[in-house]
Amino acid sequence: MPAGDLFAGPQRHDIDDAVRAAERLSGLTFSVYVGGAEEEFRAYAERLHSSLPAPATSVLVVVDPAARLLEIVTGAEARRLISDEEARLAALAMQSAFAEGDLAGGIVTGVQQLAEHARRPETLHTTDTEA
Amino acid sequence: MTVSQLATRVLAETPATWTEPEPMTWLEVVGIYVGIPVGLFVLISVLAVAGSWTRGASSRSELALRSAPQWFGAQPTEGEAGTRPSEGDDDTGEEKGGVGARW
Repeated sequence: MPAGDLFAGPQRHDIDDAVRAAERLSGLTFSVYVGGAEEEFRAYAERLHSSLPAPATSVLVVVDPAARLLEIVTGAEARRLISDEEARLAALAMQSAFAEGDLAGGIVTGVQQLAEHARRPETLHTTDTEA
Repeated sequence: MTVSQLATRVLAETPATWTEPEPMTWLEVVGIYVGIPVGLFVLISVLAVAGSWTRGASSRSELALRSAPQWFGAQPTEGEAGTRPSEGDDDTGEEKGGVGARW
């Protein structure tokens, strides 16, 4: 692991896998940003979210390990699938893992929980059949 | 009584030139027999715990401070992230949802 990297190779792989699986499961766009902020944390997280390619359908998880801060930002469309209460539950799970020093595990857990909450229900008979 | 016994008794007595010390106050007694052991216990405990606190916190914070920001999944479009929404942004300006926390 290169000096100064928060995550080892397998950890980065796990987080990438979790993000891709979450996108397949929910149909939303998931992003994770791990780093510091030079301004008020929520405002910074929302600014990052707004700079994403598709903010309305994006879920952004921002983690500042140095300041021990976590923000989950959901876009206008995404929040219809993931309520603030569900985001709070995911944040709680992440907090527990972070408190134990498991940064990568906490991120994976949080992303998985958010995706589960936003899971698209299976629909049957959605194609029109000709009479 | 033998000469040796007499000499022993004489050597065992305190010299007459010594002054009689004043008796210790109860505060001095408590301070010496209770305060010093308790103080040592507290000092050693603090030193034992503080070492792990500072070492753990500094190593974690130092690593976090030295690490460059990392993105996973979708990332902002070209340009400084967070400066302004990209063109074609479909964020209608509705209030964003989510939650904040700290650990």
